[in-house]
Amino acid sequence: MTCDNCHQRPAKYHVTRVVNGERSEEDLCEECALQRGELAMQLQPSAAIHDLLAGLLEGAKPSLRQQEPQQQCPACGLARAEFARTGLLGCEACYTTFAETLRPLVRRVQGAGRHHGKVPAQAAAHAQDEAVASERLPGSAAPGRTATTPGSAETATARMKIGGLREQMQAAIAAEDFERAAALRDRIRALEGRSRDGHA
Amino acid sequence: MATPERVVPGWMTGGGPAADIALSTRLRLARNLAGEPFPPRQDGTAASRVLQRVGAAVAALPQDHGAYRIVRMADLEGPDRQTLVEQHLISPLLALRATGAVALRADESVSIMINEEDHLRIQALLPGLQCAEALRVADAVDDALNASLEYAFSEEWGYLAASPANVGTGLRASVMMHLPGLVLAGQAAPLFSNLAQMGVVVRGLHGEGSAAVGNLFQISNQVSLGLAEEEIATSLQAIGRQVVDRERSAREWLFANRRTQIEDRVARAYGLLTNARLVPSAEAAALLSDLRLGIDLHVLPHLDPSLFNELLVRTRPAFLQAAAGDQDHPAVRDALRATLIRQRIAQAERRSGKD
Repeated sequence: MTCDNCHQRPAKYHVTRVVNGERSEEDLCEECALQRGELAMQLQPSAAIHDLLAGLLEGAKPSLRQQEPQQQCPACGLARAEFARTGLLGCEACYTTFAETLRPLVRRVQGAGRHHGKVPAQAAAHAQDEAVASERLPGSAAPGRTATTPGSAETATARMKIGGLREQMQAAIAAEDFERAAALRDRIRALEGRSRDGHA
Repeated sequence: MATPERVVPGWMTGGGPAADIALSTRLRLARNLAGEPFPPRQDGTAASRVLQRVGAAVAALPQDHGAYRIVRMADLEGPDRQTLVEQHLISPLLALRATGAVALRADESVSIMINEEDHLRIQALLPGLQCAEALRVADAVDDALNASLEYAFSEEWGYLAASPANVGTGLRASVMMHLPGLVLAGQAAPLFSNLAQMGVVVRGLHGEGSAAVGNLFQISNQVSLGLAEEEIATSLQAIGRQVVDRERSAREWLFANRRTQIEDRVARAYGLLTNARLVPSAEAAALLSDLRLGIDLHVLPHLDPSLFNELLVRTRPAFLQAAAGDQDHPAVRDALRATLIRQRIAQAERRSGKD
């Protein structure tokens, strides 16, 4: 598709305008869209970075495909292919699911592989709890700063699953399918128990 | 009416350190809520749940954080959204998201975008070059929200973002700079390529590369992981400072060696802006840049620099579209823009006692 304005360059933006209920649509190339001021002052810096990330992933694909044919995030269902297309992850658990893919990728984009900045109060408090707990357990190896935190992907996966199951349970209750609702409730309880145990 | 009462948001009133060149500093922290899918994968229910939770957390902010109002994108007409974009209070991406919303602090120094690419984008907007202060402001809001919201975080990756390019601190700071001296002296392109090697991204505000219309550039950090927040802010501040110094010396050099050309340029811009009847958007940006250079170099000593900032925002298409109402059409807009510029310059001159 070519640009509706210059009729030369390929169209990149679809512009829909509604002025006083009158709708008009055109397809513009980047240059014409910019000239017309259709693109806002502040361009999205991340857009280019997504493409770059997706490109890096694309390059690494053949070998990764062999290793993990159709890897999918168990929590949000994001497929590797979709991440490769958009450069965007679906949920916190994706960071664990795709960790092996992400590590080299992030290192290339960010030049570093580990966070050295702020830690949210929630995680800091938890890390302290863990340290205290480990002191009370003689003989156990000190769990250091890499110990499981509330934000860690394993518990995150559980939380996402529980959220999804709760919604299904509500739907089942609404549909008066109580047998299914009860089964879902049991699964939620089992998951909640496990994620608590994982923390203790 | 959803647009802010004032035309020019607080960050653009022209004050702040080195504000003759560094117009404004913006710093944002990307945050996501634990246990919720990131916005690119959320459905309508998940989006409203996030909005509700964040809304409650904003309402629960301590009193010394100031008053916030929450504006949902779904409740705004296109031009009103675009106006918020032109005031830099929201991103173009948020304007496109029906499930998006923004919490705006009354003084407009903080805007919290909700359900943009991440659940939260906490933005501090300050006039002039003040990266450390912007970090302090955003950090305080972040802490206060974290008291009632649990964030997605891992020890290895830091704050988890929808894009791995934002992971870690989730911090991106950017300084908007007016660099006509470097561009005219032909020093912009080599400087920008050096900056790129230092992990600093430069982009034109109304165009790409060193040929940006209006000589306005955003200078921002590329990397968000592996450094502490303070390190990122300090380093961008130092780089911004250097760019300011180089711009000053470029202007001095130009004024010493190309004085007639500079004065001619400024006088032509002044002549066009005070007389033209049709001024397209790109031409306005270019002429306003020349006008501002003239003000800074005291070629036009009777004009106030804040006039430039105000006109930058008010001559953008959405602003004029709102003013044009029924008759909105590019030619009508160009005429409105020309009239607005003539009137504002005349008012400013009357106030400063010229003529």
